[in-house]
Amino acid sequence: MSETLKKILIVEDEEMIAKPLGMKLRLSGFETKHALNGKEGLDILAKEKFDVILLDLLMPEVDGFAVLAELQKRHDPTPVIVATNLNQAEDVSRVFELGCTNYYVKADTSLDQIVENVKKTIK
Amino acid sequence: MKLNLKIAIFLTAGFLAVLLVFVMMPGARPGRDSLVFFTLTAVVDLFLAIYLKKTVVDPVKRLKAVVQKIGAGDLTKRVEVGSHDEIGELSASFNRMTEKLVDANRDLQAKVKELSEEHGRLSSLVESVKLGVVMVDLRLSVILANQAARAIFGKPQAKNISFQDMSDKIKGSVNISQALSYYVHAGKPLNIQEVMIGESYYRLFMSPVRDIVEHIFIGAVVVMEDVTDQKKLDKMRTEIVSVTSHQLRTPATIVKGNLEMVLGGDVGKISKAQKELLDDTYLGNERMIHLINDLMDAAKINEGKLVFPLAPVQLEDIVEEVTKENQAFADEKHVKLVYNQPAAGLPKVNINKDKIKQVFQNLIDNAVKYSSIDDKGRVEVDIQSDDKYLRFAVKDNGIGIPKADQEKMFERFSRGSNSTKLDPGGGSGLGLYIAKAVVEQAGGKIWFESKEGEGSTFYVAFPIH
Repeated sequence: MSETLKKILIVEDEEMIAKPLGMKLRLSGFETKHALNGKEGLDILAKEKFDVILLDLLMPEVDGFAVLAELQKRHDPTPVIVATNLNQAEDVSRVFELGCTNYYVKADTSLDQIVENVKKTIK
Repeated sequence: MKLNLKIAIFLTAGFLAVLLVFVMMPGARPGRDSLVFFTLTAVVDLFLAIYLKKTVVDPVKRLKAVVQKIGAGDLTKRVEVGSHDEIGELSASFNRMTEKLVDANRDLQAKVKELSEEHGRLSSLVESVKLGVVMVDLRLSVILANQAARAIFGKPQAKNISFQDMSDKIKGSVNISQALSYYVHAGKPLNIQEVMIGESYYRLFMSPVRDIVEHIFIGAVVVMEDVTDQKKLDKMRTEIVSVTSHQLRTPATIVKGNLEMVLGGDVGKISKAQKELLDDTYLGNERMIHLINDLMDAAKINEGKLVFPLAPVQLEDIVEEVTKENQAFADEKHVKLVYNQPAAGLPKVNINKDKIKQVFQNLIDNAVKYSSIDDKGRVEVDIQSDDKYLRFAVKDNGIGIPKADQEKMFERFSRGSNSTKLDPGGGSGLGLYIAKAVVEQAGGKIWFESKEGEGSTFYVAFPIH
């Protein structure tokens, strides 16, 4: 492991989903920050660099699709893992078009699997 | 007495009267005698003429007058039968014939009344039904359109509707006029599930019409059922299921995440009893997630939106994975789970890996569950191929599916009637329904063979490209 901890931004409007996820990631050796919605996430990303973004899709006001579009506009190269409840083909292909690196379906994926996914993305 | 006899007697009587006059006359004088002879003959002739008029001409005239009246439609008239000669017989026969004509006429009128009443009933029935009804002849000209049909096509009168109008307005997957001509001439009925006319949805039923007497085709009837409300309701129901199941996933995800932290020992040690209870909680939550997923998938199938991306996959890899994952469950149920590994070099098939894995998972899970009656349960999984298909099979020696349930196994919420004992918690009843849709979306087929008490074999086959 490198000297400084890898930083993960969790953009998720459900605090109770973000909480165990954040705990698990910190226990696995990551530094985490939590944004409660897309707007907050984009504000944080404007000031701070992260190694991976875990992004929820359905959020009030600025949703995950909008965040992806804005990041593309900013030419922000941070890898994004989309966490979704929508597992429909059209949504999946849309997030990939918007530059997402990987995605998982929330209720079907364990915290361990998410951590694995993050580690793989950072390499 | 016959007419010939009457005339013969009359003439004989006349001849005898003339003869008597000559016999009685004294002396013989040629001039006087011939004058008397001619006078007598003339008198006899006169009587004969009067007699013939009375017995023949007058009755024939009366008969003629009556015949003319009857011919003009007055069936109440009868001929007077005065004598017993041929004219009398003729008159009597004629009267009998008229009686028969009266009877026949009465029957005919009753029949016509009956028919027109029936026609009236049928027309008002056809006219008042909510279904649109259009009848066309063999040349596809519209010969009848009830009120509902006229309303559908926005025409006040049936004669204003042309078949061209109809087929132009009906938007659907089938060309109505082609289909109708074809099916009418083939004498087969045709149902079209869904067409659009204007903003509304209709179901169409078409059937050929036969002549009742000669049984030849004389046209076709098209019945249109408005299913717009039904469709709206169905859509609303599907949306509700989709939205609620979506909402349910969030709390289920929260429970899952927190339990994982606690069970993983990440937030401190837990006792053995605590772990046991939380393990069950975790499994319960997983089952709920599974049900929610099934409901969402079923809603998508219903909306016609079940579209998963397909990619070439090595089928035996998935099968091996699923079999391994099910090993612990089989051991727990004391069922021997065997995977007959195929020879290497099987071709890939174009499927959605995750979804097909779920299908196999489901089939193997069912096979294990329903063969865990005693310790002799055995489930065999294999893959075979010919040059067209790659076929996955899972065979068990379990309880089997009762014959009466077999036909409905792939329908929504369908379960074998003998399944509850081995699966008390029960699944959603959606597993096979979803499996069928997922397999068919990838161009594959799913089917089974089963005998109650002996076991079942489920097959899934995908085409090799």
